[in-house]
Amino acid sequence: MTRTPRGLRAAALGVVLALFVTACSSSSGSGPAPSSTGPGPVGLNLEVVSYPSDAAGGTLQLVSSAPWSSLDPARSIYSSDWDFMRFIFRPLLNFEARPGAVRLVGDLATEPAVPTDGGKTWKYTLRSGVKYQDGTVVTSKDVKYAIERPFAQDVIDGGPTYTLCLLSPCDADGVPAYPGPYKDKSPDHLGLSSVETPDDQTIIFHLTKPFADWNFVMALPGSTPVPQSVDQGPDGGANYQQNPVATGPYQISQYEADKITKLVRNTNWDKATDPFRKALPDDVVVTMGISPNDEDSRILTNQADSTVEGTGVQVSNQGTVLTPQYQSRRADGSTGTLRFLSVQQTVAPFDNEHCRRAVQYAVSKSSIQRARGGPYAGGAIAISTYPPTLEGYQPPPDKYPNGPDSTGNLDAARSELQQCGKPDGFTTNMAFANVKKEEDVFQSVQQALARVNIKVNPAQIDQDGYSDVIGTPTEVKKRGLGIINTNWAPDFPSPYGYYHSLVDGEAILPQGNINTAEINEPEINSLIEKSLTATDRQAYLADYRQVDSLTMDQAGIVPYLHERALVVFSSRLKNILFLRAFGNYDFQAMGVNQ
Amino acid sequence: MTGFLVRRLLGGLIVLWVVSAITFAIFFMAPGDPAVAYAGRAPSPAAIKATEERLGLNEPIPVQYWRFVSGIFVGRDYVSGADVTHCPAPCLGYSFKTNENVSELIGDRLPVTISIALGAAVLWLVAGVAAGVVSGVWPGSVWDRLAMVFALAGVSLPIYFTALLSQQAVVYKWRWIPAIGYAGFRDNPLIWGRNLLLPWLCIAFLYAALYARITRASMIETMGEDYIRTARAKGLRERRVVLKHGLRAGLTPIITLAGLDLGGLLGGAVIIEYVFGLPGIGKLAVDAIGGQNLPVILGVTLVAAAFIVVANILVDILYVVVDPRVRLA
Repeated sequence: MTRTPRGLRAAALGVVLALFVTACSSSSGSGPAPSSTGPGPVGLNLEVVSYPSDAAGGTLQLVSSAPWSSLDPARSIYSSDWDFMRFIFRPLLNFEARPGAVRLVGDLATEPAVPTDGGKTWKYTLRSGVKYQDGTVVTSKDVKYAIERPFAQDVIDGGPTYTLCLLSPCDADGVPAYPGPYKDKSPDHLGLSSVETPDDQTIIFHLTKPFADWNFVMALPGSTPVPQSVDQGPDGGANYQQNPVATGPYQISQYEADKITKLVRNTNWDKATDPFRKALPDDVVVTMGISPNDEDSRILTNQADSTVEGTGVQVSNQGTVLTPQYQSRRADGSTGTLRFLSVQQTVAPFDNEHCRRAVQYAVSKSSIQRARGGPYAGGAIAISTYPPTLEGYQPPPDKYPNGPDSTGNLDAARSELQQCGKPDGFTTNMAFANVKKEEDVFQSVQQALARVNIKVNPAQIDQDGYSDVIGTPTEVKKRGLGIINTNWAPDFPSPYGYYHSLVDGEAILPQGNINTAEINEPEINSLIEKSLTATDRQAYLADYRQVDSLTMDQAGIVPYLHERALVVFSSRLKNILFLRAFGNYDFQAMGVNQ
Repeated sequence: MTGFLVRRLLGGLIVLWVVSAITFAIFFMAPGDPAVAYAGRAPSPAAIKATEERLGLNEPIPVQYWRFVSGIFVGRDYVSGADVTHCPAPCLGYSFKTNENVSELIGDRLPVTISIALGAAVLWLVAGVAAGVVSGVWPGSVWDRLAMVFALAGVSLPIYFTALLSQQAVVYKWRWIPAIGYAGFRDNPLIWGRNLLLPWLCIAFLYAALYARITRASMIETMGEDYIRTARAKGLRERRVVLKHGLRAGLTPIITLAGLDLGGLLGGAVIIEYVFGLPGIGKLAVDAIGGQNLPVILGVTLVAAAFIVVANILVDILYVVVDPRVRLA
């Protein structure tokens, strides 16, 4: 073995250092520490459209780190996918392209329906002159056919299933009577009798029971018309997601799953029939399967305009993004997600509400906020479950004041422990995913509760199996998961959509359960049930504020953050418009400077 | 020779069979209901039931395993009521949630991984062996010292370090090339090459270092042999002495290593693919593991194992061809 002479070692070190220096000189250091007092806009004001422009042309470059959940409008489950689909699909209704309060407008239909028959009958009139990308005119039968598709859950699965039991009687297992258009015996595959199409421009839905939020369901991509001729052929059914037919201003010109999606203009889209789309760019390119760090690098160097996910920049890039240089290119919108701890009454000693309240008082919400990225990248501290961006929000009373700096109210916690018969504390398990931020949240909770002798043991669960485990109540009880770190964002921005899955006793499922805390309060259940037949919107909203209040009384949910995401855009992006409905930016509104 | 081939192939098949059985078993030892995992996020009861029926998940496990294995050779039919989907051979099943044909997925991604692996292999072999030969023939020279410094750096720096660093420097700081994605060779060979240049260089940096050191050691040993002195005494040109007589003998360990390394890389250069966003089977495996997409994991594992088995057999054959002193066992 030859000895390595000293000169050689020095040279080797030099090579390594040279590489280091090159890389490190590119970072501009961390920016000013964001203020921990209240999250005002850290960049763009999201109540207005930033950089408004009507200039057409150019290619919009989007990046994504994950594949689409599906490009089949009936099978997609991510809100970022639904946001992107505004380029290509026109469901019956859609969210108006304006910031601020959510507003439903007629997209394919002329306007949202006013229900009759006690909230069971909903009639829509279609706009005339809307065509598919091949020039065929869209009729109400195409919408009916599209609505029928998800009934074939063996083929068209993965998307929202709100329509199933509302348009067809379901058995005890939740399987609807109507088998779907592929097994439909009627000659034109339009056998779903609860949906009427008296003429080509009219469609009427007869629901099995009143459902006040039906308009929101019709704003989901699933009501986008699907041509039978395509769907009943070899390119339809389970394969439809490879090349769905467009009704919007753009159509798919190239799609390779998890690699690239390219859109070009749909020449058969008529702007005169469209309520809000401007269709400024000539093409749209979504480069997919990029690592999250790479996404940030591309946007910061103007090689891409925006991400699709809208979940925020990587922690390592937050410092860079918060420097003054990016002030005019960054924003932190509310994603509409509530982050909270679920405290299970099925796991002792949390069957006693005072033990649950002890947790409410003892956690340090500001510490958790720091763990999740601070007020800009993590979110605003939550004192109740009602999201500030949801219709009907009013500042709620603070039922469990968390101390002067939101670091916890230990005296109140100890008093609650006395009342639940555990003055010396107790031991429990906390479930969290094996992701850095979640581990940090666990650490924070563990340390905070240790101050009042509540010993919290870690139950770390794999990220992607996470929702399956915590969504199975028997599994939760078996593993003794007293505290679960989780989050919730509704499929549509209505209080029913938000609260039903979260706190309705009727919504507790053996699998895929969202009501993790297994809250089953008769008063909450009846308020939610009652809201389905509500005719007075203000009374409806007041009822849900009451649901929020009762939920906090039950103490099974310890809300800690109304989540925000710190995002950055390229310097050439125009019409940056924040849609509260998606907690994301309206892609179809975007334009690019050339 | 035929006897040798048959024995090795049989051995290879047994290895693959064991790999498939173990991976398949994990399928069922994983927590949760496979039907739920297949069906997608928060599946409706109707979806779960339909999935169970279609995939035959209620059948006994040995039967399911048999269906899986026979599917690889003859294809498989998935029956759901009156609807029959035929999955042509080699059928590796369908992925969870997105229901894509795993064989098609892998087939789609393999060219990317092959491009990365082969391109890098050419670079590292040429660079590594050449550097090693020169170092070995003139040990202690300036060239030797320089080459060994680079070799030290290449071997010590982890590949995620070089990949991330070079990407940040070359793509984002100095902007010598635009952001790296993947373009097919047939679409545009120049862009294909430009995109793969950095991945090739990162991999080659690591492996060339290894090969340079091994070649150097091998050359030093060989050049000290008596027959080299004889060849020189006979008056042969130095170049012929080095290459035909020296390198030829020293090549055997390099061939073994190159075959195994290439076989391993074909299973997916995971870190490179992830950092540079290249859609190869390495990235497919990482995404599948993250998403607990067992059918895809099973498929990629089998394919990667197959590559290594084949590489092993080929290397053994090449060994005999290059070095006549070796007999086939």
